[in-house]
Amino acid sequence: MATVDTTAQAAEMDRGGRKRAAAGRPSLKGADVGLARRIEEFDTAIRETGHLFGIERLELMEADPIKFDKFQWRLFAAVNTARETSKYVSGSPAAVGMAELVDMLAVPEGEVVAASAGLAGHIGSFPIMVRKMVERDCEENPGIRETDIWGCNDPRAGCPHPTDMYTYLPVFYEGDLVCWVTGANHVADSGHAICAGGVPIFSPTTYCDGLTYGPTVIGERVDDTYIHYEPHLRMLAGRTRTGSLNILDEKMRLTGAVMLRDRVLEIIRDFGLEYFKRGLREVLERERRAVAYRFRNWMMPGRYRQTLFRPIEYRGLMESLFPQADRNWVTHHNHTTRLTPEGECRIDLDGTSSQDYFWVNGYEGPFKMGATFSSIGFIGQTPLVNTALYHVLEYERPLGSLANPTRDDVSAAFGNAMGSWHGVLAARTWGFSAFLRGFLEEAYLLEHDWELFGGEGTATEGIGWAIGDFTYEGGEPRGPSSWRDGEAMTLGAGNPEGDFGEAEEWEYVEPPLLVLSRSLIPDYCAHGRHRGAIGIALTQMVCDPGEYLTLNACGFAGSKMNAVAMGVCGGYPHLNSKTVFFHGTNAPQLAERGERLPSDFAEAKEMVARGELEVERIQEFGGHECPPVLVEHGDLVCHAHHAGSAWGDPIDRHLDLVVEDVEKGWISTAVARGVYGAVVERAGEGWVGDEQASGRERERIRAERKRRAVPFAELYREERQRVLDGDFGVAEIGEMFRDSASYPHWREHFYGFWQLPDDHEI
Amino acid sequence: MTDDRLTSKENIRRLVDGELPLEMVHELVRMPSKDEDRFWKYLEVLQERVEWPERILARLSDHLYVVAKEDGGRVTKCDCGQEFGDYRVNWKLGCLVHCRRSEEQVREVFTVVAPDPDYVEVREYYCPGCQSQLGVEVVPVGYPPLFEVLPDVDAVHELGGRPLADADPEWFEDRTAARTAAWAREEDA
Amino acid sequence: MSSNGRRYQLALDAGGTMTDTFLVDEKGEWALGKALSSIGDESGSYLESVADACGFWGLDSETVHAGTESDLYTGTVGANALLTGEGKSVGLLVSIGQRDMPTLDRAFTWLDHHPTDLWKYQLHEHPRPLVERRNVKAVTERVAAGNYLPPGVHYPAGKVVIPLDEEGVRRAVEELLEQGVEAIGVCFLNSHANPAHEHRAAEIAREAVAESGGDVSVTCSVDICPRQKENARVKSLLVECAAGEICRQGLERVEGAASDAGLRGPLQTLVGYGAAVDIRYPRLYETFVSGPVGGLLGGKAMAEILDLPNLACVDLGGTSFEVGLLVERELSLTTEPNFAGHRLNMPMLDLQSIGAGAGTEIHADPAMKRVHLGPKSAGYHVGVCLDHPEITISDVSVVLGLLSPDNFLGGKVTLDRERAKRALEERLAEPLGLDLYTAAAGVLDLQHAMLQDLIGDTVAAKGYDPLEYTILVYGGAGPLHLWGMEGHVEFGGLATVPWAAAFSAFGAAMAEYFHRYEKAVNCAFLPELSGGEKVDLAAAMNDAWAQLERQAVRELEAEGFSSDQVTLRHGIAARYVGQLFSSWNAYVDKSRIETAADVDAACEAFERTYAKTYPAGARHSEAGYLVTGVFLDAAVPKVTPTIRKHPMRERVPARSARKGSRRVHWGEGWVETEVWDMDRLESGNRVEGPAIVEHPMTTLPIPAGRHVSFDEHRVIWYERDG
Repeated sequence: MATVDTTAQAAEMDRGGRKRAAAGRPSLKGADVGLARRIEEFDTAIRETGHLFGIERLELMEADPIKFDKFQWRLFAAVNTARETSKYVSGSPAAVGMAELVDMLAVPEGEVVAASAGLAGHIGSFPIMVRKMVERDCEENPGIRETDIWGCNDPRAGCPHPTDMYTYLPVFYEGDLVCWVTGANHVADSGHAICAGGVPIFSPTTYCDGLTYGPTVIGERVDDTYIHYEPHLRMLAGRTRTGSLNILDEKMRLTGAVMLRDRVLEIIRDFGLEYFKRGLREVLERERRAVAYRFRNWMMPGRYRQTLFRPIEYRGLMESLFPQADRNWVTHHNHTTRLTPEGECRIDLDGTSSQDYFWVNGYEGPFKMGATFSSIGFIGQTPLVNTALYHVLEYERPLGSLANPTRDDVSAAFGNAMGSWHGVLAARTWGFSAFLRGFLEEAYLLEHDWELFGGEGTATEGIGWAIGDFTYEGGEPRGPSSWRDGEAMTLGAGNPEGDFGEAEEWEYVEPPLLVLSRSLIPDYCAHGRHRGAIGIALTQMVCDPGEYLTLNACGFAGSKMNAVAMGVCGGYPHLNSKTVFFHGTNAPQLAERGERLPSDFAEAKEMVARGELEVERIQEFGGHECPPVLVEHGDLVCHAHHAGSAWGDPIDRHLDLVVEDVEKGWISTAVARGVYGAVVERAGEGWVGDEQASGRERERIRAERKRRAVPFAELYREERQRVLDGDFGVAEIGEMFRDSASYPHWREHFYGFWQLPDDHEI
Repeated sequence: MTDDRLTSKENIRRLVDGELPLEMVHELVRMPSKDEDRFWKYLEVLQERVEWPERILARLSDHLYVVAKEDGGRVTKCDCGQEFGDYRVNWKLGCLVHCRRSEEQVREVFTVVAPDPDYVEVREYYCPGCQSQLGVEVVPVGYPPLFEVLPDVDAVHELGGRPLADADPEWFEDRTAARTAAWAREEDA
Repeated sequence: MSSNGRRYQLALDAGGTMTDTFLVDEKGEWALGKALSSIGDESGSYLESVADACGFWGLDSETVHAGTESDLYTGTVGANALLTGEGKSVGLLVSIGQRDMPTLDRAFTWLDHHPTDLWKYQLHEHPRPLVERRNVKAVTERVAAGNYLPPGVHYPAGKVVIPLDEEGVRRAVEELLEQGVEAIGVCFLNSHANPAHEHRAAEIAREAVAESGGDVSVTCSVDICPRQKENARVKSLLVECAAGEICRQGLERVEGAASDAGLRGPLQTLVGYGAAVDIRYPRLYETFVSGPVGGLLGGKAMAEILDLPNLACVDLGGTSFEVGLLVERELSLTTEPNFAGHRLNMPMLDLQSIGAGAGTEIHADPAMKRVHLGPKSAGYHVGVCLDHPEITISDVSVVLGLLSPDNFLGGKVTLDRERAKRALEERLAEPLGLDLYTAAAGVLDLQHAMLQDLIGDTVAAKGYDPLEYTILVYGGAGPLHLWGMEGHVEFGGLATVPWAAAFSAFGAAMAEYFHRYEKAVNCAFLPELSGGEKVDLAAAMNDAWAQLERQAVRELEAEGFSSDQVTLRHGIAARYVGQLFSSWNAYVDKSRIETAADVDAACEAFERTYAKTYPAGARHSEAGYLVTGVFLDAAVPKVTPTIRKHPMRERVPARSARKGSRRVHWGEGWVETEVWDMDRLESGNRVEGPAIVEHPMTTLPIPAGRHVSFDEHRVIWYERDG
């Protein structure tokens, strides 16, 4: 069993090790692993036969299905044990506390056969990374050797974003490359120029992306010991804000990969090399068929439209330093799905906004990683999480759009975020589609409403703050179905083992941020027959931050336009998220006097209005619009997130459900009456709903709807005129339409619907 | 005799009504390969709940269905009986619509945190017959209404082994622009 | 009825379905008893199970009770009260803004998920909260957590940042009392660092209760669970408030029945960290997850008897398969055990568990030709062969002839082999397109692969060498699948015992009598600190130990022991500075830290434990050490049974031990196989495979090329021929 030695003597052995290795190094080129050839054959096979590796008959499976399942189980156990054990090595909250790491096993072509629980979305990235190694001629120089330790975190080379680092080993058997084993995790900080804590949403150019390295040999095996090269560790430590944590994480990734390698060699010994090689391929082909089966049998074939918008606001912030980025955008993320009767899913993003000087340019690896998170729960439901789904599910990403950037100077700091937006749109389409086909148990609306906030500063001479808070990443809501409500804090869609940690432990690592609340915010959800999950407040009081402390946030949704643009069956879509800073408050004095303090931003504003809370200045930001903000003692920082989307017409909601919500204090009687048409009144200890009064209220709402609404044709005339006049209100929306219309499919759709003359210029 | 399987039509009805015990829903979720005739049981359950006679070919939303008309047409129909015409035209074009464009109007329905009316309008689509809210969009002015789904009706019946007699590729063509073209002509005339 | 002059020890393990008795006399002769657990009043099944064991020696219950020196009952009382929702209605006081803590539940919706369910997001749901939201009240108050920085940089642990709103507490308690709560719990953030606010709030609450004239108990989280992690701590508190008292009353009923039967001493029970305690123990929630504990203690005892430092203790029952490690004679503790989907905050013997018991359901997927094992299990419904609707691994064992339909639970039930055959044919063989016996044998092989992986991974994942580990198999179905546990990983040995079916009860009898006390501290021994600074820092640890010692003596005296009977073991919970969210327990040699050398010794003790558990790559000494808590074990003497040695007989068993023979399918076709009677096999005997060794409570198959030999303790060693 190979070991990882990173103890105090490591440097010593390392030096000795490299001498010996150098002596035994014949040339730059390692064994001829023929990556380029293998990948070309792989692509040809699927193109010509429609089967992965051209496998028409699953011979191993048909010969002995149970032995084949046993083989799969062994792979499953191998990847999960590697993760379970290696995570304890880490020091970063994300890795240990929330298991934000993943171990993967991939065929030489890069296709992932098995991924552990945890951040399994990473399967979307790894195949791209291997293809980039070929494009970059890594086979020739430095060559791929049996003893190599490889590392990478460059989005242009397939990684999701610089904050997700990969450590991977080529596994050779009898001189032949038989698979890759990989450990990956989300580190606390990767040295972004502008934002700390791995939430780099203020990153106009690639030169602000922080520490990034493409596929690189970062160490090697000497005798039976894997050793990191010191310069690599020094780089990780020296060019980030959380040096020692990043070194622990690097050790963790390697530990996982080495354990996985040992296990793989064991499996090869037990099943034989030929079975192993063929077995990995048949697993992928069988899973491809399973995914197609789900599309074909559980979903309604047809064409579906979804979309969402994201404002990006750099104007004023970039003025002097990055004039080319000193503007605002509204980015359009168009999403048209075709589910074929054969069980293919083709998603056309034509019309999606163009690449530009902002944070969210999504190269292929980042895009797929982001999109994969949401896909697994619907179509990748197998313990062996793998990339077979990408040979059934196909994204058409228009060249030059932010979903397929061509430029090298724009930032790739967080392109996977954009992938996650499309992943959610896809998952919502599939959930709705399963509803149409009658598989209501599969029909729910996915919310992948992740949120991170980071911070940096100095407590006192030589002691810094480096904050990467995962409270909101660790626990996301489960969306509603046609038959039940959404539920708060049920999972991390990015990590099936949701966990938002303990306030007591977050405070321990973020001493200047005293938790005033982690609680549900009344009425903060999308309303519908089945309402969305109630949104959550995280409110903190800044306590003695020392020399300085800045905080910035980054999340799924913005503030101005909803997370997704369309509700389902008459329910309202997912609400926006917020980060609100109340600067210069008298909260410490209130606390001193033991007086009431707010538990969320809404309550804080009411208290300000009533004069109960004094405040000098209030700053509000949407989830992904919050630049580093300087905070001081007594400031209140209020986050509000995860208000899930709804399903169906609110006035169709069963009265008892509304009463229950009022009883729990989640819905106010005012909203119950105004939005749900439900009359709920106190009755001693509890609450009761008034059937008659509610019936009348709902009739009133119907009448009100009839009164204020107009036939759609009228709206058509009005808005068509505004389109012709280019009267879109905010300037960046006009620019958004103009840009989108430069893509053919969207242009045809847009011009066709509004009946615009071909020569019309937006 | 009664069907006591987990996937009996009665259980599908209870699932539709949200009355199926959670434990049984979990079992449905865990089924590796599901009942092949689900779609037909689903359509039967839905058909029994509407008062009108037309045959349901597919479901479009909580309230809307694609139904076969005697004249051979296929139209979108609300459970209240309201018809929206050819299902290949986005049914939103046959709705009453209300746009929330002011801060105050938006806050009535987006409680606690609301979108910015300078950037988007909130479109609520109602059935002209029963005023049920059929759809909600939060989009910038000038954004074409989202055609949520154009189902491949022929294909789903084919997949279920009961192809439709009048199957024809034309049933899977978006006809929305034809409707708007007529409006535009009136307007421009 | 008076004693017959002989001395006995009784230990009972009451599971959800069966109550097992292990009865042993002063010479080490033992007898097993079984009875169906009677939920509600368990004194009935207690007496029945004891009587069953006594009957084995033709004795009556009174005679045995009269001679019983130690009687331990570990059971389901408290757990049942909670699971069946019969717990008290609890009112909860929490810190400002924490009212939804029980609802949000740290996003733990997956704790009991089978791996195949993990990615099905629809299955992620919170368990029913242990408290109604209207009964949770937030109170304005906050104390600081402390931090990882050198002293003086930021707030010290426990600093009051927001004073307690006493008026608010009073109002909240009055509302709770109006709402009719039967118990009140107080759980404030960081109370482990400074309990003042919790204690003051409890004081106010008790006043209010007194004024109301009601009988409502008030409990502080810090008093029953003085550890960091509020989400788990509040669960401990809620469980204690809701069911602690009910559990005690249940145990008192059992004790009553035992006393009436002639028991002189008090009844004991088992706590999660593996100690026997008097049923008057103040923190009874710690007994709720003691299910697997007995088995691990049994393993520890066997390790002593057999002089084996390292064991993998393997418990295979109807529902679950559990593996716990004994590393250099030490069982390790986990701090957050699951209890019915709730994560408690308490020390608990650590083990890995998967739902791969003998009753595991089998589902074949015709579309993908895939076999799914679990997640559901028939438990004691066994399978189609008894009265479970789905086919299970047990059906497979019956159909392959490994398990005799007439030898289940000592013949208390008869299994229907034909029905099992038909069901496997229809639901397994046909969908996979295989013949019945190939499919059945294959599934058994798959099940065994899972067992092998869990055992192998539990050992290898921690960086240990399996060759240094002996696998000790027990549990009703343990011996039945023992032959399947020999797999791709080579272990030091594979063994079971004749009393495997009541092994948990045996382990309970072997339990040491002690209390464990813990207290959180926050001492960061950074490399740059001077020896003097380290010693000053350690004062907090000394104070904590002193406090725990006082509590220990107080409680043990209340249980009738004198302070000179008490032996103390001191320890620390520590981690490397920079590590988060978990600490590791280690005993230290000295009871106080007086010199810098003592500090280093303590840190080294931690590092030894840590290195036992994780590979070299995990070490991070250069960052310094953080002691997050201290603990204290206070032990008093308790008699434990001796397992007697038997004279070694010749290798060939007496013919009288042979029961007959039957056809068994071992994977490659049918083989006529001899069947032996376990009770008649003696020390020194060796049974050659293919063979089946049967005991009224369990069955041990031995394939060709393998044999078992009985050593002087009648421990059964499974070995390869040659």
